[in-house]
Amino acid sequence: MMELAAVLVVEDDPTLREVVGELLAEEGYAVQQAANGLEALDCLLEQRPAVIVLDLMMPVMDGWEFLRQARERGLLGSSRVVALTATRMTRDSERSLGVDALVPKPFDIPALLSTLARLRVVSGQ
Amino acid sequence: MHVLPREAGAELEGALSPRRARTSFRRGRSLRSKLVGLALLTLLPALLLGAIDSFAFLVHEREAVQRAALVTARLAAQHAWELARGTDHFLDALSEVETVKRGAPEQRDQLFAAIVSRYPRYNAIFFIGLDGQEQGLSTHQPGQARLDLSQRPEFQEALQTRSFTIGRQPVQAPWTGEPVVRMLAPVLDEQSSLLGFVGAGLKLLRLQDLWANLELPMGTAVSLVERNQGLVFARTPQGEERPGQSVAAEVVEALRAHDGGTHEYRSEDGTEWLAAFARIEDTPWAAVVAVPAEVAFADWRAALVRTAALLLLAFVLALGLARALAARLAAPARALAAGALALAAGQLQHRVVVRSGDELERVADQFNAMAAQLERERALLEERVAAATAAQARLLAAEREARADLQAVLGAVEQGVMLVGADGRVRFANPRLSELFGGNLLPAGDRPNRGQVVERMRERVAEPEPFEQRLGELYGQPRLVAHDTVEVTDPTARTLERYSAPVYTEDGQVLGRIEGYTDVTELRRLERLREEFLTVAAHELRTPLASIHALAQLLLRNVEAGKAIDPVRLRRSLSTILRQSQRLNGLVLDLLDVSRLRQDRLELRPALADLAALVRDAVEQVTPIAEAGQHRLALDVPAAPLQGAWDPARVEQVVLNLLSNALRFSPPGTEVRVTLAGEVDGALLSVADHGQGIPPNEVPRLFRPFERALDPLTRYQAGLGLGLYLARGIVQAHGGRIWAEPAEGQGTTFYVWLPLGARGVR
Repeated sequence: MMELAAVLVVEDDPTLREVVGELLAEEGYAVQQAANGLEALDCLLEQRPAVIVLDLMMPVMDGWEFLRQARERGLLGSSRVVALTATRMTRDSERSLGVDALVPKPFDIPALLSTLARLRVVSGQ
Repeated sequence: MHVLPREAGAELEGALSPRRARTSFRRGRSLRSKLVGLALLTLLPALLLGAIDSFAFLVHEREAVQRAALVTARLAAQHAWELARGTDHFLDALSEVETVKRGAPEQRDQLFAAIVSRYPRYNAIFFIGLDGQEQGLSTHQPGQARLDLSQRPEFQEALQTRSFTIGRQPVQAPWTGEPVVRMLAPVLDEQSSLLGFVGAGLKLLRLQDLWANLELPMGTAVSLVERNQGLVFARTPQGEERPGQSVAAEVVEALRAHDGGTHEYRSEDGTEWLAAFARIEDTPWAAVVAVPAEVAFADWRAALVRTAALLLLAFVLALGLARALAARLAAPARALAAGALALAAGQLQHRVVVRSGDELERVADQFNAMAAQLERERALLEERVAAATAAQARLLAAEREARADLQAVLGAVEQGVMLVGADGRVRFANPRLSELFGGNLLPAGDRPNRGQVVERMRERVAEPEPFEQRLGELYGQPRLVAHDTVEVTDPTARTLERYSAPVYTEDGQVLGRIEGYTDVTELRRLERLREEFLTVAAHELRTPLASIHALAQLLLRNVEAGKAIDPVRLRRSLSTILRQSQRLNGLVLDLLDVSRLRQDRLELRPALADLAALVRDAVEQVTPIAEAGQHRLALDVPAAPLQGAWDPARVEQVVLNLLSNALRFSPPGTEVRVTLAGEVDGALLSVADHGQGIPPNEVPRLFRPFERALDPLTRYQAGLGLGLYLARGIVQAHGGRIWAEPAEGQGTTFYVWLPLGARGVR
């Protein structure tokens, strides 16, 4: 199991979370799921995933707040972050968010997968 | 002194200035006093002539008095002369008598005694020999010694002159003691040889008797005076003889110098005298008449006083006459002068009454005509001024009204407005301006400097430096028009939009700059709200879309790869796609409903429906969600049908919205209670949750659209946040009410009251 790269999917919509989870599992990632930022922080305490697929708009704790707190508490480590965005908000960019990639919703599966693959290579896992 | 009121004076001057002319007038006394002077001048020659005449008369009178005294003196002298002359002739006759020439002394005694008895004026007659011894005397008694006259001056003078000689000193008669004067005449023989002298003693009383017959004024003295020494020989009135005395020295001097004349002098006792004197020919004497000046000039003095009194009376009469005449002549002029003064003082109704019948009356008539003209003109002027004043007042009132309107408008508008003049002073600022900045911006005093206002603004804006810098730019470029945003922090956060533009005068000059501030806080909030809502809506729409998209891609990929698809998984994928499609559709429908609601075009399709069944059905629909969230659903719905005329689909939408809301905001494991109760004319539905509750002041926001997105407490929640807004719209369309109250203990209870017969249902 250790050779599988871990991916944390943070998404409040259960259907989409499940779809993405199944897709990535089929692709051979070890998938962990969280319904919001708070749950994701808990997951990070247990295990550092190679990549975090992060929805931004979520109840309880949204993606922006999650990123802030994770960085603050040093939980991010070498984990790469792919942000899923439903809106093309000008205030959000890789740089301003401090994330490695932005993938718009709805996403093309090949694009998501290639992004994940690229980030996995960069992360050296 | 008449002083004109300033206005009246100015008015008068203004009214008269076009025809200004001057009448020369020199200073001087009043006309009346001039007329008095004139009248006196006319009378003066007559007065002067009268005075000269009176003076001449007085001089003449005085001379007459002096002349009278002189005449008296001459008369007195005549008397004395006659006596002396008579004695001369008498002695001359005696000297020719033989007895006298050659008779014995006794013979002569007898002869002389006989003669003396016949000539009582002589007290004695005698013969004196050349040796000065008496040789015959009328009064000689037998045995008596002969007299010796050898030492007498008269004898020596007679001896020397060998002619008739009068004694220069009075002599007292030896026996009677009365004053006499000796006279001697030579006795010559046939050869003209001197034998001796025959003499006589003339009684001076005789002369005084003669003088007593003169009519003399009171106190007058007539004296026989020896001319060289001033010795008095005789003097009247009688009894005042003063033999041996002299008259006053100055009189003596006059006697020596003149034959006759008058002289006035003051005696030692202070009495003033008028003295007249006359030389007595052939004698050493003079007659002197001395009259007390008081007596002599009594009549003259009376005349002097009378004349002076008459002159004075004449002058006084003349003066009175002149004054009366002058007053009469000057009266019209005075009336005219008074009229002019009254006119000058503004009493234009004043008229002058002069009935002198001369030029002055015509002047007065002209004056009155002029005054009347002035009065008319002033009335006209006043009328015009009044009209102008009224017009000005109307204009002013209109202007004031316009200004008040402008103030009212500017006081009522939403914008804060400030007009700054080109001189940098605030010409106008409405109260709203200070209100927007949350404090008084205007320092006390008229037209404060712009800098003072900026100073106060600075204290309240979020970024003072850029704020002031920008204002500096605006005022540095007078024609710049700009829109800027100003954030105010103190005391509450506000966003203001500033419109700043130059203000021009009618001829295009820059009058100043206007700053208009509008509170755009709410506008900006709504803009942000809309933006956020769009973000949320996009997210909400794209989330189901992303699932559908991903599943479809997966299925397509498998089909293309020729892989066998697990029928169970295929079915699950397709049903997910279907469910997400329905969810998308629901979202779109919600958006459409919102659109309809906002345009008030929500349509109901009412029908008879059982609300109890409807609620039970809805609860059944959300049961899976409740179970997923570990919520308990408690249902308290009457078993009997609750019939009413409602749009069943819409009412179900309301119930579902309330239920999903309650489930979404309730912590897991809590209960959501749904209660339905039939009432007389309606039905009351309540949904109570045990969530964290809502502050009472936030409750109204619950029912507004797009509000949830910006709520910092709730952060993001799935869904568009339109549920309660739509629910309220639907309930209100039915004629019902929806509201929220804090639930007992914890959480919130939403109530919906619906009337049994909805509006529009028959």
